[in-house]
Amino acid sequence: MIEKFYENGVIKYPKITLFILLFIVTFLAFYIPRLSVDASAETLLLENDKDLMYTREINSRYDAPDFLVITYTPNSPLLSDESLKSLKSLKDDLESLNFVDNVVSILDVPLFKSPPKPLKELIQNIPTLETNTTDKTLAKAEFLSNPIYRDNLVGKDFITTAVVINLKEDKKFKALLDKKNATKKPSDIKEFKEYRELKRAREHLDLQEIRTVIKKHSNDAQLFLGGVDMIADDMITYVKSDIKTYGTIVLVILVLMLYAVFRELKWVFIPVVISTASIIASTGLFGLLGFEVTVVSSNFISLQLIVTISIIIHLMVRYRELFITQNELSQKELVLQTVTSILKPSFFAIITTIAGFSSLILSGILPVIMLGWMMSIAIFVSLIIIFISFPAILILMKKSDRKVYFRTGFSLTAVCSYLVEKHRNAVVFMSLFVFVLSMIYMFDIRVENSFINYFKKSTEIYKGMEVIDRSLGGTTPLDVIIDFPKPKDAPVQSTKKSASNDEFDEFEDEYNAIKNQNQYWFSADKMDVVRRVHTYLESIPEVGKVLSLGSVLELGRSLNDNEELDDFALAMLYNELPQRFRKIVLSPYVNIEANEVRFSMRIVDSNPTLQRDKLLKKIKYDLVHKLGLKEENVHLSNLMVLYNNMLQSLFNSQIKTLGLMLILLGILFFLLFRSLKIMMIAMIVNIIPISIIFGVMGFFDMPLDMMSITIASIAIGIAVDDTIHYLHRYKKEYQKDNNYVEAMKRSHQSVGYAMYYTSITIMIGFLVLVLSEFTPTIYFGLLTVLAMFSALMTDLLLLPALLLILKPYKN
Amino acid sequence: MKSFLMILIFGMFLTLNASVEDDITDMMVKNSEKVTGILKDKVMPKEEQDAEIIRLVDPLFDFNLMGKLCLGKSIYNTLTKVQKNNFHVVFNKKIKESYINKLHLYTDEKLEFEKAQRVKATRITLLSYLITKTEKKPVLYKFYENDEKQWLIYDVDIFGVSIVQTYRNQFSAALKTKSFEQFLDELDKDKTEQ
Repeated sequence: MIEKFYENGVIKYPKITLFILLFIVTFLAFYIPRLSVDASAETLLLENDKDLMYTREINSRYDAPDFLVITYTPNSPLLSDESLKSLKSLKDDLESLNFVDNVVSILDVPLFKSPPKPLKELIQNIPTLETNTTDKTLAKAEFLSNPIYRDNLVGKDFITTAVVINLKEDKKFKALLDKKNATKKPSDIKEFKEYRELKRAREHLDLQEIRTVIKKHSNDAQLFLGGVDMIADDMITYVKSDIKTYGTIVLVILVLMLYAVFRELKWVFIPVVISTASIIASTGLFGLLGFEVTVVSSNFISLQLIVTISIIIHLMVRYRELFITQNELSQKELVLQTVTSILKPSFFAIITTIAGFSSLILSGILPVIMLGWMMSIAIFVSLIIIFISFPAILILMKKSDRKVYFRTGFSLTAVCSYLVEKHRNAVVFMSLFVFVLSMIYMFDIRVENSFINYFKKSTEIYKGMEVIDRSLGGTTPLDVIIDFPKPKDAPVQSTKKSASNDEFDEFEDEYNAIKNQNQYWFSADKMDVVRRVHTYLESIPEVGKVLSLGSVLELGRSLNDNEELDDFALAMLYNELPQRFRKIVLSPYVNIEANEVRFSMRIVDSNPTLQRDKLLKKIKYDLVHKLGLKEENVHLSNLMVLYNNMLQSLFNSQIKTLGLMLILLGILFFLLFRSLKIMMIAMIVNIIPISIIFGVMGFFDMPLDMMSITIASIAIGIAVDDTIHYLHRYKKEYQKDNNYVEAMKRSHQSVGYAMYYTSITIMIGFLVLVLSEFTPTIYFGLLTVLAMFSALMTDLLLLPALLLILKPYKN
Repeated sequence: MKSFLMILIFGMFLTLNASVEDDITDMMVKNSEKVTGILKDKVMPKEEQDAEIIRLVDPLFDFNLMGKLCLGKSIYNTLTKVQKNNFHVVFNKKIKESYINKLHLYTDEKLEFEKAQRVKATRITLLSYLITKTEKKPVLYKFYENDEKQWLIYDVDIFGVSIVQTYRNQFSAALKTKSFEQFLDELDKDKTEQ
């Protein structure tokens, strides 16, 4: 049936076939611009994470605006006239940008002790650095001692300061996001996405405007831009640039490699045209389906390229083999035999690769799930395009009269063939040794996701984040929220009524009526909890800056002759503090309506000893068991928690993914080869490259994160293809003379070359990714090369060795 | 005739009430002038100033009632007579010190009084304003009429914060975790002033 399809369809009408294909690909190409790149923090979060809902709730309750931070290290001392003048000029320039709400710097914050004044005078007129009467020596001391400013607005060394750019709130975006999250209706999702695209493009331009301002001031100081929004924008920039730059370089190197191996232009032209068409078609299809490329799925083009090129090389090698061995056949017969003999193993190779990627759907993490879908679809698109266009193109070309043999000089396949023939037991022993060693190092793998390490040290974002980490209190935000028991939950005291207490009752009613007014919320017992929690959080080495009502209490105490502010003073503070200062010192840390306090921390992301999950568990445990808070009143939120949830889910899903993948592989191998023994051999051969990848990751301390999680699937995808092609060919060769060794030699000399060329071509092509500025791309390149190499080695050494030892075929 | 009598009685009632409120306002204006005078006296030692002010304000306040209100009925009614007495001794001392300390913070400002208002048959409030260089801040005195028909202050709202209510919060929170004796002991030792 397949043969008829080719004979009476594709091969008979190649031009019409190619025209239809070209039409479909062109049609899909129009949808490419619709494919958007989304690298926002939201894409890295777990779907249906209850902590995500909680964090969104908390963020809306505490009115946390989006902000960017510029680290400012002036050439002259921080408080010199020159520095302050240039800082003022920077601030004015930033505030003139229409998307900036306000800019907070050392120039704007209240100074309480420079010089010290009685509290009542301070309340009437709180000075800043720009006030004429401010004493700069005292101001320096105040910046370094004030719990809100030190390690936050100014570094310990008093060389660097932070300029916080609060951005105008995009109410429409928030409304659309809420609507989308609430209804999940396709029309709402579409509306949200369309607006988000506009917003993102606008934000990118906004960042460029800020960078222009920074450049203007770069003669006066060293400035770096940081902040969560920056991470997302830089990631998108790197992802887009990597797709363009390295996609092109990989393609060029592949072209060179193909020419070096096949020495004929048509063997360069065919794979390039087919893989380009496949990539255009699948990218357009993703645009049509409304998919989004995230940081995780940004490698889909490279992955599709690997699989597509690999199948085409198998077809090319097979064609050339038939061309050499059966030169008497016509071009039509050669093409037909090539396609029909490779279709079955390729189909199963593709199906197993799809099975490998489909298992990512179990991860529960949207970008990883999307990668699973995208790769499954992309590979399927490749399979269809290859098996339609390859014979159609080839049939239009004349049968070549050149006979180029591969076997010249050193041949890895011949060395492998020799080693298997002579030292098969040693091959198995070595494989076992490598497997055990990999398993040992595999247990060293850490589950961490450090954004700062996503960027090279030479990049602006790395430098900015490092300065914020080192001098300005850390980067990744983490919040601890403490609820207080609601008044109705408070223990009810005994009420002995007596007739003589009528007057008392009347007073009681009067005070009960006002007791819940906001200013009376600040009671001594609550403040005691705040102080204790704040002190505890500050004592944790991994925690950078802690800001909370505790900082305000500490500041209050320093202004109150080192005596704690009591309930009355706090109530007065609440009532009397001017709105602009209330927004800085109270509103971010206390929500009276919700009866809770917020401790806002930043974690030092660049700390090499940081173990995120352990840290979060310790904080929660200590708050409950050491500080005596009730478990239900302690909540952790914000990005640190969400990323950790995602990481823990990654770890669990990795086990599930691998488990499912192995089961699917086992089933597919059994369906394909109809032999338990061969199934077992194929499984062993494919488990080893995975273990090597994890072992190497453990050995080199490469953390398992959002990006590296996908490598196991990639490894399987690559390794399985070679295994299927080899086993398929081996069976045919074995059927010729029932000789295991000879079948192995012939397989190595035929399909072995295809495997070798595929691997070498792709490995050299992907090594170029090491030059990227974006660490995940570098890791992806290195791990792909490792996966290809170990898969090639196990398929050329261990697989034939096991076949020779276990002899699975009947005579 | 009957209606004339009614008008007369009602008119007398109004005149009578108005006079209580006027009396309270006058008394507070005079009193505050005296207190301000004492506070502005640079020659008089602080201890003497404090004693003088206490002598002036003591008859105006019902410190015992304030103490009872600060503890709240549910707690106060559970105390023994001795505990109540001990509490009043400690509390009265504390509240007086606290009031004096607050007065010392505002030596240069003027206090303006509005006319006292009767809010209930046995309650009168007197709103005053502390005039600073830039603002006018409200200070509200709350009076009640005791069994001896005297009008005494039972609470002061300073800039919208009631002294009694803040103490009520503080005391009830402290008594959730401490025995009454421990609480009283700490209140006695407590150096933080209100």
